[in-house]
Amino acid sequence: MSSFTSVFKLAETRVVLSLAALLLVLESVFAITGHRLSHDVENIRQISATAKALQLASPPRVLFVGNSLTQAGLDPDLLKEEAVKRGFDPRLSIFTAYPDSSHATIWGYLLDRYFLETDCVPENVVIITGSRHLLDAPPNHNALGAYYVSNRDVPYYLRHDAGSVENAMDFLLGRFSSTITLRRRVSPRVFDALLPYYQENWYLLSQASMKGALVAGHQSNEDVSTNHFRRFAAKLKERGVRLTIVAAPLPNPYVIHPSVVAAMKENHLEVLDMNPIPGLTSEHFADADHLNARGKEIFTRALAAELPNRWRK
Amino acid sequence: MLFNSYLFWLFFAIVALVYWRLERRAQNVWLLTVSYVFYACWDWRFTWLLALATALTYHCALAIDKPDATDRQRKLWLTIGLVWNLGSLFFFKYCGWFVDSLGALMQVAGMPAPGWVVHIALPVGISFFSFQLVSYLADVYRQKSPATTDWLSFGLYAAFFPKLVAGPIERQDRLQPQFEEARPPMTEETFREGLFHVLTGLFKKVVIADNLAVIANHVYDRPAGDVPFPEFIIGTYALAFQVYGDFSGYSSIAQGVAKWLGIDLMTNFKNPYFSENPSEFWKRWHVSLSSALRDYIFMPLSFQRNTLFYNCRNLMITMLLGGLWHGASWTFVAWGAFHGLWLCVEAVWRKKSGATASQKSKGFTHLAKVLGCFHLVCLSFVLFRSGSMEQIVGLLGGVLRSWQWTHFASFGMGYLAFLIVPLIGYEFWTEKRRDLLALTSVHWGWRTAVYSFIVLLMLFFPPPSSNEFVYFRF
Repeated sequence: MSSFTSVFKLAETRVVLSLAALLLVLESVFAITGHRLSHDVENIRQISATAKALQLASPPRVLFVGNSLTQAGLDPDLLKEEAVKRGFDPRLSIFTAYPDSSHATIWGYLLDRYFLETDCVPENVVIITGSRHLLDAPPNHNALGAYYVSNRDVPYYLRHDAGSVENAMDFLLGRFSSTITLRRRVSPRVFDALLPYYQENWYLLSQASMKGALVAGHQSNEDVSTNHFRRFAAKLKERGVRLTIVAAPLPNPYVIHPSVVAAMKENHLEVLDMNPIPGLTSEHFADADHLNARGKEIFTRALAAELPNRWRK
Repeated sequence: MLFNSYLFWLFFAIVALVYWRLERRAQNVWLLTVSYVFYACWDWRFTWLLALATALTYHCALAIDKPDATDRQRKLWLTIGLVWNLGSLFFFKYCGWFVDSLGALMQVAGMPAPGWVVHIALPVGISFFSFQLVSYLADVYRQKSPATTDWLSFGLYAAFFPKLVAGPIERQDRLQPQFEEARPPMTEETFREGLFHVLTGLFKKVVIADNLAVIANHVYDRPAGDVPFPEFIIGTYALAFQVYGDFSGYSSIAQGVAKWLGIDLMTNFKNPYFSENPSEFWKRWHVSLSSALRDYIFMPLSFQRNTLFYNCRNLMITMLLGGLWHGASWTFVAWGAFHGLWLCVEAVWRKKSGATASQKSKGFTHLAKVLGCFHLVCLSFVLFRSGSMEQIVGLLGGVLRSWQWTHFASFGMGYLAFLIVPLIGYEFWTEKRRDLLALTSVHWGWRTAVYSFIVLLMLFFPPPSSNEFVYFRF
């Protein structure tokens, strides 16, 4: 033992200590300025403030939860304006939480940590989803640790989502290190500046890689589960929150995954199917999934025509 | 338990902390125990196979080396040891492929296909530990080294965890004596070398191999007819550096980890892409395998006849078996045949020109030869990575089909350059210094700069998904 530790008193110590110092500097830099790396991080960090604002607002309050489909598709101001025009309570307050690439696993923890456990409970929650977003999905464990899982939910996470020591370590590192949590947001910025056609190609490669991982993990349609969706649907119901599921418009028609439909039936939920919306064409999409400004307006007006009636029930 | 996983480093921290508190024999008992735990973490079902192969080989070697053993008895014990080790290798690795090939052959011959399907789980690292045990038996039989009576050290020679699942393929007379002696105390130099091997190995695996795997997979996992030729070229460059980064990275981490336990493992890769010709390439690439193939297949074959014809025949046999060692597939056989043929061409050329292997070119000629050699190695990797002969033909046929420079080609080129230019620059520097460990002897500030660069790239340029080490399959 003594021979193993005595080595640290010698010259190579300077190399090791310099590397440790580098990591400490990085950690400080990321803790202070990391949110500038992406709008998404800024949005995530805003959720806590959103919850507090929601707590202070007077009813009726609606919380929209989703991902980039919601961000690109929903105009909260227009929705309120349209809803009020249609005779809905003018005190209506609309709040949003839409981390990029999020899904039911993240939404469940997010709702718990920021809203339910802090008693910032709205009267209505609307989830805007595609075909599979309400299925349990492999999460980014760094991000779960850093932003989503509350202390109270840690045991649940370890039992149901961690799955391996590697994931649990990622979770822990994410919880305590901003560098680890934000590290995957650096390369896109560097590559986007340096490499031609980075975004379109990286998107393709990531999709292929994820598909490969699914095949390697033998995840098939039969293996899917909806535990997180069921869990947060039950918790919202218990707190008297009305949950509405909206099927988001996409360029190609799709159906909600049968497992999600089954879970909705169990919880007596119906889907508000906005796929397709009359008048919405492929011209109203900015890319393969997301609406452009005109599409956003059409979708929001369509929501305004349907949602207030449901909220009144 | 991958070397680039948190679990492995937790495991290693516990192993090292306990290990350096113990006396020599207790160190060996501890190492043997944790080596089996390490193997069991991969697949506990096959620990018996490793233990049985080790015990049987140990006893066969003792029987071969008995002073009163007759030639007949020595041959019998050698045969028993070889049949067990090679037989289990054949059963687990080649049986399914053999049955498939037999079925295909029967169909070609107009006979009804038998419809047999054989699926056998492949024990991790079987090719490596079987080869080691066979080499030990051969050494004892040839009286190159005596049979050991120290079962504990021999057990460690077979199962020492850093090299257990993907080599290097160590010789018994080099590795086992290190377990029989007291470990040298950890010095600053040992720690420095270990750190160097571990960090450079992680860089090659995490930054180079796993990132380039994404590009290579995108090209090689598509139907061959859909791949324009420029994309195929870029995908193949990516593949060449993926395989190199993956395997040399693994070997380097194994070497570093062993170093921190006071054990020296051999250097398995010596800047292979700076080779001028195939024989030099094989002296730099997977050195532990190529030297084993040379000593245990090529040399015995060349024992009696050393003419050009027999030399070429022996090269072909050696490389075909080397290809087959890599995997049970005709594409690996084709890869071995390619290298065998290439070595034969070189042998014929040397015979005609009278050039010797030690002659090195300079300047432009050297550069041209290195580039030529690298591209032929790349071509061999097309055979290595492709799933079928049809895919090989389809990919190479792209040269006639499509020269379209796509967005992916532009992106892939930039991505490749971003990742491999620092690696090539670093290896060029070590080539110039003729010292693979040159970084460990420069001022600590330079080392800190290089390690910081490595740490930054590992942190901020992680691959989309971590891939298993390629050579675990072998």
